[in-house]
Amino acid sequence: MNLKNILILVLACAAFGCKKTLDIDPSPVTLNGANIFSSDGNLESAVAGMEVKVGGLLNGLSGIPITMGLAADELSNFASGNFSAVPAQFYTNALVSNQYYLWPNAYSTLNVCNTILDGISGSGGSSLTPAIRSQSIGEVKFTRALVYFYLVNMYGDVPMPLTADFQVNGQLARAHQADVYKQVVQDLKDAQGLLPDGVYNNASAQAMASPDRVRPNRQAASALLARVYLYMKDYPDAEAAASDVIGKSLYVLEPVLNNAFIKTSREIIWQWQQVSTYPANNADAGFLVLTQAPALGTLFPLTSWLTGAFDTVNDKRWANWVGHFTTTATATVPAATYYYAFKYKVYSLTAPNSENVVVLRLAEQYLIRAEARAMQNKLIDAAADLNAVRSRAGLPATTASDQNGLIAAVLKERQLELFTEFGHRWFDLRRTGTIDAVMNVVTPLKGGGAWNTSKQLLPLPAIEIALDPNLSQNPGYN
Amino acid sequence: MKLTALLIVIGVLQVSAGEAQKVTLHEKNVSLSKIFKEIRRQTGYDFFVDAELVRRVGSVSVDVSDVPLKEALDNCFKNTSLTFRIENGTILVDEDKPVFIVGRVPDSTAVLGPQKDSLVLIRGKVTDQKGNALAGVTITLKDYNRAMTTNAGGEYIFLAPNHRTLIFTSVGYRRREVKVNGAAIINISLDLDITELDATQVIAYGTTTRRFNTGEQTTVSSKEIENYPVANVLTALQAKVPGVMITQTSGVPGSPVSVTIRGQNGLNTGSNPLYIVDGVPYTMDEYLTQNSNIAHGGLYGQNPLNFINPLDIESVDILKDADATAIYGSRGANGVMLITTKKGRSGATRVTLNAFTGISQVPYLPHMLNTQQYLQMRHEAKKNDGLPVTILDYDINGVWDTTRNTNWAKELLGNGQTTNAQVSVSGGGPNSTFLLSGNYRRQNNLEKLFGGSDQTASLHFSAGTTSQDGKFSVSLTGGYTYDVSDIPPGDQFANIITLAPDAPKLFNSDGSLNFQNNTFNGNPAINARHLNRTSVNNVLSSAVISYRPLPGLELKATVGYNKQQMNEFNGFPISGNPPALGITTGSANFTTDNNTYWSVEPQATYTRDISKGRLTATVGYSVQKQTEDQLPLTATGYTSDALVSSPTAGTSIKPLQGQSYSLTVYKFTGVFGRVNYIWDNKYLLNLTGRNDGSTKFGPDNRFHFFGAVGAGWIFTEERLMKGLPWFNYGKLRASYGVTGNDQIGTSYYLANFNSTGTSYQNVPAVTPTNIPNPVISWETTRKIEVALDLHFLHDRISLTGNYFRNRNSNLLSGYAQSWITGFNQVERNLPGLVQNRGFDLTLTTVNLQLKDFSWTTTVLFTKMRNQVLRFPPSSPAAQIAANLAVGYPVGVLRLLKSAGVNPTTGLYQYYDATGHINPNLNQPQDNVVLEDPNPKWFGSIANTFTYKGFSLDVLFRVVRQIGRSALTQASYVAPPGFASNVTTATLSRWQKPGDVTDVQRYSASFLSFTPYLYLGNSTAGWSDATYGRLQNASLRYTFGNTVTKKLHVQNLQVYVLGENLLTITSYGGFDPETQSLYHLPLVRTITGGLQVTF
Repeated sequence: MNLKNILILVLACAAFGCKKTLDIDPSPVTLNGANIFSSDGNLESAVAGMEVKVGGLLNGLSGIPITMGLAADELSNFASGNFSAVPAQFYTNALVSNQYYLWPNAYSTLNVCNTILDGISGSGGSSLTPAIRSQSIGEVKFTRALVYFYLVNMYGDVPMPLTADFQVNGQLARAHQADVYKQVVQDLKDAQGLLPDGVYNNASAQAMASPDRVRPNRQAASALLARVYLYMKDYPDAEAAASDVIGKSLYVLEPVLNNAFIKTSREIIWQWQQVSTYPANNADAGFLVLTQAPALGTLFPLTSWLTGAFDTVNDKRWANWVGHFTTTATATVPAATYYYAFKYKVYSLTAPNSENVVVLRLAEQYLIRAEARAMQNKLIDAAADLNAVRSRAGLPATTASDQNGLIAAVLKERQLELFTEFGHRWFDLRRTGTIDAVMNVVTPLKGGGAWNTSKQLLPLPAIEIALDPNLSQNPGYN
Repeated sequence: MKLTALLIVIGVLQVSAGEAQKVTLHEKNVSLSKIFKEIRRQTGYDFFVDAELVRRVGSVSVDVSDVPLKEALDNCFKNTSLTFRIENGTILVDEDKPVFIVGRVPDSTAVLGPQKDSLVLIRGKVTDQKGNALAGVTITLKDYNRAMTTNAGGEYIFLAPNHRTLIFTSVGYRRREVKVNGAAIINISLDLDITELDATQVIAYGTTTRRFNTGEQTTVSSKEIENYPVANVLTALQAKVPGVMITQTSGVPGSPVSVTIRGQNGLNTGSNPLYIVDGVPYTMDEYLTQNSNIAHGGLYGQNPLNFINPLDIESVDILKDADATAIYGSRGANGVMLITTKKGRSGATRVTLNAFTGISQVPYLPHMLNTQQYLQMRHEAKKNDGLPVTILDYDINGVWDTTRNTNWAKELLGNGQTTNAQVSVSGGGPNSTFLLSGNYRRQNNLEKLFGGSDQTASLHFSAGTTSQDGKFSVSLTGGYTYDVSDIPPGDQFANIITLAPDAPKLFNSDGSLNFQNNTFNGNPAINARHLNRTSVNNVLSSAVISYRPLPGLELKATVGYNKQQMNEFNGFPISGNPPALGITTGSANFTTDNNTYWSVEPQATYTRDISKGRLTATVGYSVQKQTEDQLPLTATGYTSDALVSSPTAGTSIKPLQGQSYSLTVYKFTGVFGRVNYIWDNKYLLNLTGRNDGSTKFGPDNRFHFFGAVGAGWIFTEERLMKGLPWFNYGKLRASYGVTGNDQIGTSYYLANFNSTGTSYQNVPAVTPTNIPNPVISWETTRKIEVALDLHFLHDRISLTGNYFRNRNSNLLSGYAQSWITGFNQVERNLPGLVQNRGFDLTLTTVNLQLKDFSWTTTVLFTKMRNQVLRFPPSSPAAQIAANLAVGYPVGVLRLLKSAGVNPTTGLYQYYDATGHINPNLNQPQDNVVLEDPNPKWFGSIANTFTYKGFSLDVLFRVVRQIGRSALTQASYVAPPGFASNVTTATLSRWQKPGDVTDVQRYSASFLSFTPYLYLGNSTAGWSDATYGRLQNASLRYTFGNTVTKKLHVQNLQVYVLGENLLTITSYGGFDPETQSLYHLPLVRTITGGLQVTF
């Protein structure tokens, strides 16, 4: 019987092959520790992965623009339901420590940054093409600086992992804000040196210019650095960094306001490309643009404090960047009109990509330089920068003539120019020390009860404090 | 083919001629069998001879012409050790020294010499009580190692010494002993056996009997499974197995079923048992689906046993303790379910038709507010909040017709219908058997608003053959299942029953969705426009090749192959959107899953009698490979609704958001062995071991040894006990051993970067998915078992009690750590300890056993407790983060202490960790009340009554537990007061300062939102959820001989089956089993059917 022999053969094989049969690759479709940083393509995929990760902070319901817009006096909240608990907590300035909020997104992005930096400096990194290597390091350092900048402004002192060693990072204490800023400046200076000047690399970074401004370049690093210096009150450096951008003819304030946020806008210094296919555009638009009464969806119209600040007659930004939606009157209830942010026009989830997430744009650089110059008492230059933004909006030159008046005018202009973009309003109120004065009025009217100055910082997640014995909570959240 | 017939009969049993016939033979060096055949041809005499003897004798030469038969035979046997005797037209051939005396002879005075004339040739027929022939009955000669089985007609022939005893045994029948008393014909009938002490019981890599089993195992037979009109066999096991908790999650067909055998062992490892189908490992993972329609409301996945037709299952054996499971090594920790499918039986070809159909209904629904109460709630909420009715409050501002009062549950639900039809054909000859069956099943969606159905077609077959000499056998078993569901994705149960009772109609008169001038854009019937088609193909096959080269030695190889493929399509057409959203294109998701498994398991078993005992030793090797891949795609940009089911008719195809193609390969090898020794039918010893390797772990940690020792003492075999007439069987058994668990992801030992399914500037993106842990290794479970089996009054009463203690160490777990590390956990082995300890009892009594009436009762009771005994580090913070507490079970509930409703503000309030009422709570630090969500105990009572042709089975089940309280289940999507309906449990709410109640005030503002959100995590959010359920009842009537003869059928039965008939509980929420707001409650099903055998 032949089968008998086969059977005996199988039994015999069994006695040997045991160990050998387990020599397999864990998954042929996964990059793993051994192979990730040994080739240009893998590294680029890892950097792309970092960009995907950071996107969670840059747009959407738990991104910085919406959460910080709700916390400040920019966005109002009508949404109901469990899904909207987090927006409601931001809106009423009633944040709680059992929520994570933006913390995990920020730190998992930083972990990717640190993993890539560790990996490149490790053994595999030597085989990389130099151009790709420097683009990647520059891009990672730029991203790390961006995340730390927001972390210190949202949480105050924060732990600052700079490697991917989880045993070290899991025990970190909070670093002083000044040290975090120092690191942010260092990373941005490194990025300035590594990233291409005045051009945007395409995906494969082979020194080929790309029409899309979705990879950070030297000017993107400079633009962020200008903002960082402004926050650090280092006005000469802020002015210099902003000039590095404004001086490039590549960047133009789009004369037609409705072109400022489309993906081909010449005003953009760096925009984050939407990686999702659903929506394929800036996810914020889905929450900001009203197509129905706000209570029917998770929709956030503008507050009356913001709409009331506009010169609705002359300011072209009112007509172009603010939309309105009027409900139908009924027998018992009159019609109501809601105003909403309309910088991004594409709110349909299925529309093809035409708008990205504009993180850095030229108008902010003018306003940074205006403020930095005003602070240095360079009033004429300051007014010129401010007027560049005003004139594009169809407004006459500023009437402010003294230093304080000019600074106040710049801040007001920031409110009107940068509304619903990346929490500028909230962070401006904080850095200028005016947050208590404003929120003392606003928070009770938003239904959040009395304002307390400790509310200007987010709580650290309580579980994180439980897990990392060296962490401490922000005041007011214990 | 284990009970191999050693005796063969050449020719047909019939008497034809006298002994004086003449024979002529001219044969040189031919086999005896050739000569026998020739003699038979010439004389018509049959030979009855041991085939082994014929083989041993080899070739002979005979040269005779026209001599009498006797002389010819003398000639044939003259140079052999054989002798012969002629009796009733049959020639009996045997050795001088009859071989049947080689068996053990316990009593020396009974030794038989070569007394040939004491032999009697016995023929007969074995039937059941109704006179049906029983095939495959084993007949053994008492005290001798001789056995044979009945043929397809229930007939047998046996050469036995006179005054000795024959033992008749068959699975499911009571053993009978008959003394040979010179009679040539012994026809006997066997009684159905209830305790089945000596029935064959399937164990890992072999079989045993309940009498000699040293492990803890429960067998559920097809007879019990057939009483359940269910699509998943697990549902039929729900209250039938002590120590096993099976919970359904939703009333929708095909929803996930959770199974834990003796509690959750690990912290994060899967708790699924190992499923073995016909000796081949079957997938234990749930199929993950993109949409939740198959399993409603956030449940994604299909249980793999959905794709094995319960009616094709012969038995399910649930193995629990170390003795029974350690031979499966790494995968035995959570217990093992051995599923044996039906096989053919020798005998005339039988065709069986079985069909049933019936309806399902939701037995009880939540009581929602009517329009009057609802409007009162809404206005009261506005008043409480001091807020005006706004333009957006369509339900109360006059936009919607407030005189409407719709009972939305009625709009949603209809009757579910289940139809099942099966045809099977089986039969076989003496050396081969076959079975072929086909089944079709259809269950439609109870939610008539959405429609659709789940349909399954399956084919099952088995075929086996054994060589003439009984040494070689091959069998092949397999099946194919095709399941398809088109129930629209996303259960809207919660959304529909919480609609305002004055909400507009869901559909316009032309059938289109009604958005009521954009005031009803949240119309939940939108989902009825969404499309689904989820199909699963499942191919299961196993082949067993067995060879017995020497007496007592069997070489066997089991080869298995299993392929499952799931194709899922979910379409979202343009017409399913409110026009106001301006969505002008459709989209669709397409997902393909492929799972392939193969395994090869050669093994050798050697059986030998040593001294007064029998030794059985088994060694084997196992290699398995499992490949799984999943491709989730989304297509967008469809401009025509007619095309959404085509993946290429849109404008783009991309990976589904947040997902990517995945492929995992998982390999597994093991060397296993078992030594079993039964001494004097009294003392039992069983040693098992397995060295296992798995590619889930790093190269240095791949192999691990698992093993167990089991022992038993049948004390009723002791001389002292043997005389007790009322105590017929008693066994004390105990086992200890170590088993393992590797149910984690495949490559945690490496740093993995997985595709995110997205790209940045057209560069495909990958991100790290884990923190690598190179030293990750097996989780081990140490199991101790002590058990007592007692049978009284000839098995009229049987009682089994088990005490068990399983301790799980080297716990595989995602160990919580700060997000600062990039991940909130790292997979590692923790030096913690989790214990499951408890006992269970099974009591079966035959209460009445009359001529026409019988009544049998089985009571099961299980009490067990899960506890974390050790968890490092012991800091409370780390335990809180891991949601653990030493001394409490895995999955402990950490609850805020409720302080009721504040009589002044009307809001829920809670105590903080310091015991003060505090509106600013820190969770989880303030959650100081710890509760065990697991059942405290559970049990069931099953009664079987038979009266003439009727049989009635009734099973009642009790679970003692806590569950989410009526208060948390009072409102689904928003606190009471918002624009969604709530249950009448909220009517006792706070209304004015000074009111003392436990229901928060109606409110539609965010100030009341936060205290409400804490409710479910507070002591007020949990309550007693004990329930008793009439789980199953079945009534069958089998027609008697007069009817079946008239209809020319062998068997005819009609039956009614009922499932989930009645629930008794004081639980105020919904279904105490699912405890879920969002899932359709478990349904009540009543079916009627007919079974005919031709």
